[in-house]
Amino acid sequence: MARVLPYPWSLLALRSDSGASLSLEDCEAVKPFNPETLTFFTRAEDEALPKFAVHRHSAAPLATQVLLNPNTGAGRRPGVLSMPAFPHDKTDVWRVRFGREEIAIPVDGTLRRASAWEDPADHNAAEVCLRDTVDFLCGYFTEAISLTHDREFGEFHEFAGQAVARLNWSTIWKRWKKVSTGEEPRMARVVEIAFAHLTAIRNVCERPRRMLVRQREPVPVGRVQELDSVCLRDLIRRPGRTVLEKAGARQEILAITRRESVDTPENRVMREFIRLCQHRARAYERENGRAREHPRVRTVIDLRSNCERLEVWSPLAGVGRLVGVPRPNYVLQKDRRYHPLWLQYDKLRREEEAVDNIWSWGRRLWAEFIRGVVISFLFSDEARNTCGWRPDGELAGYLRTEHHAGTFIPGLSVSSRWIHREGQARMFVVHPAHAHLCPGLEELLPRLGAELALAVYPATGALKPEALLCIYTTLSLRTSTKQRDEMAVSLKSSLDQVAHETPSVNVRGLLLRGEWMADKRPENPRYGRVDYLAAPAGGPFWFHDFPELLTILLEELAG
Amino acid sequence: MNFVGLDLSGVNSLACVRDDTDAESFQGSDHPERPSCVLLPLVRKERLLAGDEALRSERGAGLAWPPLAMAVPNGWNRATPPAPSGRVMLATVWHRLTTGDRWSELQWQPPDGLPTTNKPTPDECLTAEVRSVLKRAHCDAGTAHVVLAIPNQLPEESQEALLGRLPTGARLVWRSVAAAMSWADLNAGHQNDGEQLAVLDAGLHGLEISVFEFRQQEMNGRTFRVPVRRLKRLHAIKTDTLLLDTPAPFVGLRPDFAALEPRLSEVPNNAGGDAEWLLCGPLAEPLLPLLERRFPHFRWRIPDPKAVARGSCLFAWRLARGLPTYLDVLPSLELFTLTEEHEPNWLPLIPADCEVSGGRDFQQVLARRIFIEKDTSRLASWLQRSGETDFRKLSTDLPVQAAQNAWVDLNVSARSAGGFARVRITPSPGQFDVFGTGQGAMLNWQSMERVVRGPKQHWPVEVKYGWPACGKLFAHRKFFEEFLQTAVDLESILSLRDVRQRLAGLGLLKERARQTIAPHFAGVTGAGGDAAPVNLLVCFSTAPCEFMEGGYAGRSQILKPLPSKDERARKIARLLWERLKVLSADAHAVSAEINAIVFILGRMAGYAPDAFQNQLAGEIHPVTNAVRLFAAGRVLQTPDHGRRLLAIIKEKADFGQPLNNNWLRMLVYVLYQGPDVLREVPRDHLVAAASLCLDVFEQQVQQGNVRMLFMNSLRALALLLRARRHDQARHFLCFDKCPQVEAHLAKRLGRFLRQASSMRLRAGPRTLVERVTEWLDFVASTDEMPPIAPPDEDDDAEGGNDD
Repeated sequence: MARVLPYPWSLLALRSDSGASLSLEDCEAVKPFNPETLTFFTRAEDEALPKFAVHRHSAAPLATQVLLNPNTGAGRRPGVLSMPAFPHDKTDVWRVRFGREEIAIPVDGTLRRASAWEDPADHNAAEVCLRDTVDFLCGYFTEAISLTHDREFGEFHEFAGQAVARLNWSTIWKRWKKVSTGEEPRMARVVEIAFAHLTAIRNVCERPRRMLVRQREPVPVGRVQELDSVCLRDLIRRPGRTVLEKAGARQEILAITRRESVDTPENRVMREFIRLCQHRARAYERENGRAREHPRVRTVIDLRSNCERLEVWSPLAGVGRLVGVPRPNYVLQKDRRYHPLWLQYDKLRREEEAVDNIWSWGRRLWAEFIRGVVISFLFSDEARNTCGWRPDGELAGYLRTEHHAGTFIPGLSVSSRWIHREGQARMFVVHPAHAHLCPGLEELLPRLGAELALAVYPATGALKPEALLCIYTTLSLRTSTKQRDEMAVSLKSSLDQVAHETPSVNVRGLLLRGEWMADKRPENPRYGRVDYLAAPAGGPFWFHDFPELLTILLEELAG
Repeated sequence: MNFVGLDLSGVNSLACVRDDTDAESFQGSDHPERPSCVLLPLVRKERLLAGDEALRSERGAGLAWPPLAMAVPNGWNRATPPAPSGRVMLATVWHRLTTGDRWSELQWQPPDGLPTTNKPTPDECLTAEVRSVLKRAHCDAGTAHVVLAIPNQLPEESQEALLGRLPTGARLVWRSVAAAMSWADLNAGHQNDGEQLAVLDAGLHGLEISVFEFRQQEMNGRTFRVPVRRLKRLHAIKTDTLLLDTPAPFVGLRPDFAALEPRLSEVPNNAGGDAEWLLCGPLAEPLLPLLERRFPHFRWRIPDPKAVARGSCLFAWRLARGLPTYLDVLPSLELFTLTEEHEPNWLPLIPADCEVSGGRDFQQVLARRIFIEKDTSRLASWLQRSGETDFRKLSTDLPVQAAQNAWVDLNVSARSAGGFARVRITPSPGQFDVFGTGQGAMLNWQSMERVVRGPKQHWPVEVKYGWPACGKLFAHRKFFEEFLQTAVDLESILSLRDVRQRLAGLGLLKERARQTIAPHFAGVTGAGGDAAPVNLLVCFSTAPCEFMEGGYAGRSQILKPLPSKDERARKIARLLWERLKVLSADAHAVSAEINAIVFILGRMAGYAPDAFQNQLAGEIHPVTNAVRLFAAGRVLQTPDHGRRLLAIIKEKADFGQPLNNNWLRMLVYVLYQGPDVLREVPRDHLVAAASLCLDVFEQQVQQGNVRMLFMNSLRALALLLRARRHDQARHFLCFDKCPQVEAHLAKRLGRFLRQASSMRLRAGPRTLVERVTEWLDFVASTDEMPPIAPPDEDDDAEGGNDD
């Protein structure tokens, strides 16, 4: 029987506990769930993954092969922990389908998906900021993939344009760190447009292609050049016997005239393009508010101001709105002024679509970012100096160029083996997809629902875990402080229970919350064995303060 | 310049390097205890890892963590072990190459949902290992003379694929040959003549046993003992992977001979205990104790792990200096062609038992052997190779569409362990340039596909026949020996003074020569157990005569008489011929005696001296006695005989003389036994003969008389269709392509054949009528001629003058 879990780790909680799992019937009657952590459990062999009733995405597996399912009467059954893809609309009830059965799950604190065209205002600040955050997180992976085009890193060059690129985690760390601190704002599409296409944009907007439009209007008889059937019908209906009589007192009849117009399909696309450029430029400015003096940011600001001016004052101001998804006409495909801009517009639009698509998977994207940060930090030069753990074996940084339900990093690029500098312990970093394979934790770890686990073993001898650090992640929506506290307390009690059942293992938890509010100050309260960290998602905190905390935790694990 | 011999057996890939100073050095793996492997790329554009780099990598190595480093817990004794993480044993690569296949799945699914990628082909995997080993040995692949040792079982496709990928100029050598060369080089002073060496190559997928003899070759004042490799002396025992099922073998080699032990009894089949036994291969060392236990009386040598690499290097070194290496017998290769007469034929491109020196090319030019017809743009070729049951079909696109008909030459070049034979097709001198001026075409092996051969299928394509095949008359051993027995005192008979006594003696001999027997009485059976489709067993027809007898397996077999008996038969024929010459010169000679000798010589057919044949051909005229006609039917066989015979028949036709049974029977026998007897016969003579035969056939059909004249006239007409094979009579009696007179004749024949088929016929005549109808229309699926002389028809030819 499928279960609804308030938190990913609820499989370990007692039924009486507030964090217990609920049957589908029960969950309709309880108080609203926290949408940031809501998770499902389904049996692998006979239950379909849950799906939103009005949503095309199914839930994405969080930890495959949860071999034990203590909540079923059948006992040991393989199962799957999965998290939902966020619905695009703000709602207090999530209608979720489990196979043929549909249930209404009350939730509190959801956010709708903002459009790419929205600028932040009082009424939509949270939505736009969340979208910017998702875009920002996505940008980290795009930035890593852009290493394949970087002349400085010739070894990655042959993976340019491939579906999966093989990179190096320490190089990724360096690049990400530069992006996060604003030391080097990321190379977004809008930056490329600002550098390479601003002149072309001005050229097109100031001297757009024009066309002659035929129209019918009363014309003095002496100036009539062309009549069509409508004009002739109009002429016949008029009173009078001769044309002069029919022309009336003003001596005008309906005739065809031609006027010049810039309202062409290609100009509509161009107007849409400069509007999109403005939005992307504003988002880029918001993202890099701390580095406004960087040439990239300055050029983007310049692009934005030019686009704003051109939209109002250029001949294109009178052009109609574009409706639907454009298909390139002959001008957009062949005209040497329009074609490069069409290509950029098309790419920009696709990127927007990509952000729209990945928005639903924001929770997984945040988890993916954290995995990337942890593993790349461990391979970084800083970790070599500060952290006591060194890699035991090699680990290539494979990255997908396009997300797969919010994930870019395959599990094999995360799961790795580490050895302590002093040789007293070994550590296994465990991707959730490999949780069921972790030696000594095959049964426990999949049910913990951790986004990343670090298991410490003695340096020699049998693989019996001595310590375990489980990293959990949530991406903030609009939940209350009370809901957040409940979440942390629930995790604490679950891990306490695990620690009680396995006294030989030092169990620690780390709950990482990515905030969409860029100006929110980091929080770091402690709930027993659980460290709670909340900071703006993708911000510099994760590349400066978080590694320090992680280093301390890892040292504590090593004993 | 370096000479590098490579032994990539599957464990400890070894390179033997010999430099200009002839100093040898060996470079093995850093991890000799681990089976060599390659790592498939996880994502596109990633490199295929091989050599020590692959051995060092922990991917799929069987570690506890991470999952990418884990290995499947069992299944390592399968022929193709599991490779979920893309770690593939080199032994598995060899196994795929040996089976001549690509991977069963051309793509592989890397773990963790990475996109499916193309698997590097087995030859790419092996080449990566070669390059890795060369790099480790500090050898420049561009300049070094590289020789890679390959197993005996490696098919030509795989050899070709390897040669295409290995560094330019690289060669292949058989592993067993390399081991034998190394052994012969190291034991140069201790070998005895006639000594045999059995090389047992213990690989991870079974054993290969090769037995060598040695031959002395001298060059530059030095004597080399070179191994001679014969296809018949090779044997392979194939098994699954000879490793323990669990755990994964990447940390160390754990052989398991359980699958091999029941088959070890096959080891001594090829060479007995007298031979010296040399072990090589990755499992040689662990296998030795087992072999010593099983075959304690064999002379087993301590395996030398460097023998193969050293031998390969020695091969490269000797080859570069033009010194003897080894001798090998190439597998025969035959090309299906149509002869000039449009008959199907297997043309030997590489003859059987063709011995070549290792590393040297076998070359031959076959002039005017393929005919390319106008408008041909793709040349389809079928080949058959010794040791293979299937046909090979190749399609070669011609550079240009043939604008005219042309004969072409075949230039064949092949090499031991050198991949496919190179067959270059060029226009024959004086022929139209079908491939463009001065151009040729190579047979395209890339397009090769194997076509399954039916159990009795001799030709790869369905061949339509427009004439019957020739045949032989087989002798019967008992009758032959009785004849020889009776002729023991022939000399004394012929020296008798009294003509009546001589006639009595010759009469006895005639009785012996006259004996015939039907196949089913002689115990001759076909493959299906039925009576063999051979012609009546008349007493000896060819020289030496051939007997068809029932074999042990229930099938018929063709045997020849002992040479002594054959010689006695020849002597008898000589004596008779001498006597005939004397009688011919004697005006008082008794014709009965002459007839008797002619009768016996006629029955002796192939044994009759050529002079007798020529004399008999000259004695045939429109009115000839039956004895001479009968003898002529047995002994005339050359194109000149045929020309003279058909000229006489034309003469008979000109005088309006019909052919009686003696003539028809003689004609049938001559045409049946002489494949080229019609080669020089003018077309109008053929038309005349066919017309006379048809007259007889018509008369018999209209009378409803299905007896000897019916059968012999129809057989003669069928065999006259063989004239279509020759230029002067192409399309002979073809309705739509022949002159009007012939077309009329053909239509007439067709009409009477239809009429005959509507009659109530016995099985024999019905078959003949049906076959002749099909041959006439060129649609027959067989060219087999029904028996030409059933017992009741092969009556005695004693009688007066013809007509």
